[in-house]
Amino acid sequence: MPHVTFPLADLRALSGIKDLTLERLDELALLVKGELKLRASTEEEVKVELQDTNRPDTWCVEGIARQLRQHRAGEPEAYPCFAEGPAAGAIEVDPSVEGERPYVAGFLARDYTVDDAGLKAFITAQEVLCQNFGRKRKAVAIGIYDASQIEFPVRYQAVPRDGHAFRPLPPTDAEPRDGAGQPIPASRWEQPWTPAEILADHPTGREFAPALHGELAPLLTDARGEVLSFPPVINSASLGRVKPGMRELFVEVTGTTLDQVLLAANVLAANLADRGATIERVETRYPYDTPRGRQVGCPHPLADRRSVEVPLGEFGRLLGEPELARGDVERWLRAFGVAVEGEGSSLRVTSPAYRLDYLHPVDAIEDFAISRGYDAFSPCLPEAFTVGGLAPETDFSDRAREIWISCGFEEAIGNLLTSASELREKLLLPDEASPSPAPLLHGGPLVRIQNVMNANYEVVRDWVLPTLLEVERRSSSAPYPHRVFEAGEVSVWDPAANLKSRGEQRLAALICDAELASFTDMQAIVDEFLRRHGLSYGREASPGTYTLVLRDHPSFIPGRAAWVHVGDEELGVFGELHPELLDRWGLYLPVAACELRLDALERALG
Amino acid sequence: MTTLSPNEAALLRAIEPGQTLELGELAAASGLREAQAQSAAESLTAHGYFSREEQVTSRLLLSPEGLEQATHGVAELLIRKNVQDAGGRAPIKVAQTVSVLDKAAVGSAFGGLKKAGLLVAERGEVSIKDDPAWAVHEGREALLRAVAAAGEAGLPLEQVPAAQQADLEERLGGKRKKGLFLQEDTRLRSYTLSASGAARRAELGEARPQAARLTADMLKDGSWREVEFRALNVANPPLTPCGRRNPYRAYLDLVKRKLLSLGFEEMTGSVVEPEYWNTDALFLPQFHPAREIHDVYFVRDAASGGDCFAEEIEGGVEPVASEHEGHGASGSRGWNYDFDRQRTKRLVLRSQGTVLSARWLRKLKLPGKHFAMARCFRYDEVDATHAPDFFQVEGIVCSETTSFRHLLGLLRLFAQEVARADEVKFVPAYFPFTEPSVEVHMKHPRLGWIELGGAGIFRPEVTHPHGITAPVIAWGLGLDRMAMVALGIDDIRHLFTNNLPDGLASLRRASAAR
Repeated sequence: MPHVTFPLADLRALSGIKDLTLERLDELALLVKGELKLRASTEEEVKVELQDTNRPDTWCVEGIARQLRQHRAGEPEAYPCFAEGPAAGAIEVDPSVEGERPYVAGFLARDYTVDDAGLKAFITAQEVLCQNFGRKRKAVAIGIYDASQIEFPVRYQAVPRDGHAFRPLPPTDAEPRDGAGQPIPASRWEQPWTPAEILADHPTGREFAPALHGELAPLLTDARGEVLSFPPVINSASLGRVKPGMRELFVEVTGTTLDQVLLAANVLAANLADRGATIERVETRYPYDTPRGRQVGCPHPLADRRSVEVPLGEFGRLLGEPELARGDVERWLRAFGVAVEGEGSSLRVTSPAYRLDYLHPVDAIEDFAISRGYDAFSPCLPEAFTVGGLAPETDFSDRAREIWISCGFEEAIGNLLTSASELREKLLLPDEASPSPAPLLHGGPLVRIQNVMNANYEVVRDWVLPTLLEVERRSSSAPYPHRVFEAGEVSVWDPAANLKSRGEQRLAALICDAELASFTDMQAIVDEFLRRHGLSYGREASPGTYTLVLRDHPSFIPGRAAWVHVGDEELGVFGELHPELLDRWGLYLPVAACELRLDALERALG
Repeated sequence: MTTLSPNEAALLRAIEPGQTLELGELAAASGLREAQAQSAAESLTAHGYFSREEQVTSRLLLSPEGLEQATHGVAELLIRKNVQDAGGRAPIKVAQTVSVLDKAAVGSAFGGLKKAGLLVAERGEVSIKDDPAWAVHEGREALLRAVAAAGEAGLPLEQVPAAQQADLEERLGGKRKKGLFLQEDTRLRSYTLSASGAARRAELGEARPQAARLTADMLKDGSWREVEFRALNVANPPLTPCGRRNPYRAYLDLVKRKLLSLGFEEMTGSVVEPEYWNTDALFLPQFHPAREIHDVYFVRDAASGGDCFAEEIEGGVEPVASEHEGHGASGSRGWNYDFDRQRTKRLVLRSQGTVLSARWLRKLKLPGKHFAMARCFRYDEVDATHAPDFFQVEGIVCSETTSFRHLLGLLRLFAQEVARADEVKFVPAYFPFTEPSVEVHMKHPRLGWIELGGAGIFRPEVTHPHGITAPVIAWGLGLDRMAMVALGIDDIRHLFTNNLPDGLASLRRASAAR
């Protein structure tokens, strides 16, 4: 989530709340869904985390101040710059950018002398917007220039990467290094670079190379051919260096979605207007169709995406206050900076042009609730009567847990993610490529993560016994005997299933002891467990019995494993674990173990 | 009259009136081990049946350094010999060359001699001063040899000549002090029968056979009447591993019971989900930065090694796709982009419990209250605050009249019932699938204000595709932190037994501490 940092003095000046303290800001930040990091903040450096990923206008000190200001004044502020009007300049788009980075918008900011605080805030806003909203400049990138040096119209084109060299802004690193790790000599910054050289050797170029889409390099140049920038990567050193004291700025936004580009430009225009700048429109002329035609002005009113019609009754219905008066709703909405029109029982609510988050009437309803304050709504309990209950498989599993605990077993709970070797090699099972020797218990392949972050957590377990062995591996300091079990879920790879896997409830247990960990010791418990479900051992399958089939499983000593069957269901296996397996886990006492399929048992019982 | 333990009785029987026996003799006579005999004798002394005398004898032994000097000679005398051999005057280096002894010992002896004025140093050479004080070093050499000759038994302290007493004290080693000599004290206790002891002894009958425990044979043949049961030792309770619930599971059970008692019905589902349910149905646009807060694990196709896709989405994706594109049943403007229908089938590991709530909307009957304890997975580095997978407790509440105020009431109820907190505050929040959205913070008695959970009313874009137009409250509680506090754990990984540092030993400690 976006974080912004700013001096409290800047917020005081912008919001007009002269005596604003950090404590007071902690409460007021709720208006922008901001969480003040109180402990990490000082007056010089206030840190706020903004929660609303759909409101990029709040990710800057100007936006926070604006929300506070309007709430205090009780009405929305007017931004004349968002009205349609004549353009003070133009950007000519070349057909070559259509496949690369098709949209660009820009505006001019005059009558404002760039100061330190404003420049810092602009750069913070730019970075946060590009990072979060612009997805690391892929979707949106922003440039700012000294407008007095630019001759309009500006031209936006895509050029071959090995042509059109210009001098880029040097990076801020103290000792910049090129792609090969060699220091870049200071003299290099006096020479022109081709886009390809920038991408290969300029630190900023290397960082943002992934934000490029096509084979070419988008380029903004002015009417004289002077380069403004190579978006979304870097500005030129000649026009793209902004310093305090400058009096005319040109701001441009490029990207892949027109409305995102326009919204980012609108947010920046509102910010500069808040600092006293006069915003002048710049028109972009496209040689191809865009969702908003071939001539698109900026700042843009975006009028078609800002209004919702909300019946007055909807406020009351959703918020639980059927008596809500229109006047109250209107008052609090206006204090949130949105316009309200219409008569009687329907409200037309319109967000300002720096917000595009009104998708549905509920969005305006939340604005009203936040503006009025959540504390103003008195909590009440749902009246409707409902019957509580567990899912059948949870109920069954919980009862199984009680039985094993009553038989003296200590309960474990394990993670589902683990490594493949813990489930296969260390259990003496063939690797994933081979067919499973016990396909009902564990698949050949595993439910495997595509984007693994850590090889210890690369697959979902498809049986529980390995989890218990991990517990046992760590337990040598606990007095014996060890009797451990877990009733838990697994996910077995199953290409025939819709989700390529089936989730199952399992119960695995083990006994580890010098004397008490034989096949018979485990058989006694498994038998007790099944008896408590009304099943007793029988030589032949019949109602009310379970049968045992002696069949080897690679994890168990040959001849020392038995499979449990009830009716048509194979419940699982138990027996004495193979010494080779114990050796792989570093266990030096015999272990008897079982793995049972609880779902299968539940089905078998009908 | 005091009841005597079998050991006490055995001691009483072993000593004749008028006899004085040392502890070892008592043990031998009674057939007890010395420790048993001592504890019984002390107890008899406390009863007044025995009177006790104690004699302390002290003996001298040699430390390793002492043994060295007893064998090769005293350092001071060896230095003197070096000087004498060189004709009464020798360079310091020569004087100090005593290869048979430890260098440090020689160095300190040399320093001592100089300080005492027995050696006179001049221009890098030393000479010997003839002085009666040399006698004490000679006396020490004799004493060292005497102690060495006494061997392991040591030399009784009283045999040390008076002239050596002061020097001995200086050279006696102790716990923190090095020295040539060591002193060992032995306490010798001897016991005599008192008058009342003699009387008590007379009352004791013949000794009966001892038994450790009642056996089946004793019951069968009646021999239990003849035996005396051996005294108990209660000092070391034996450890018996018992069945026990897992503490974390028990905590989750507690929450589960609470929710059942509040009328919630459980939802369950697979940990492998298509993106359709994991994100699309929750109205997270396929492009939006909101997607970043739900970084997910994608499932790999075993056959191709690439992304893994579900065969089909039950019910079809159109109702949800149209909401994203802005022409759905809810009337929403949508997210203004081309919705990728193929991507809906891509399989992921469930990244949030709300997925189950979204799935349940298809089957929801009004009024309904549902909860799930869902295992979830996030693309995060595993550390003390991130487990590889974790539980989320989530759910939905819906009736025709459900509202935001009910949502607040429900959250307050959870704080009271599940977390036992009375003080709560509600904070506006953002979740892509709810509007309005709220976070509930509660005042924890120890931790102060902490976040208990997030909630909201499902956006119409989430509910309308499934035919639900009534407001649906969606809530989620972050219980990990509270479970950690309740269980006294500061590493989230330790909630899971396979990560406990000492496995069962840690588990037993944890459940004992509760």
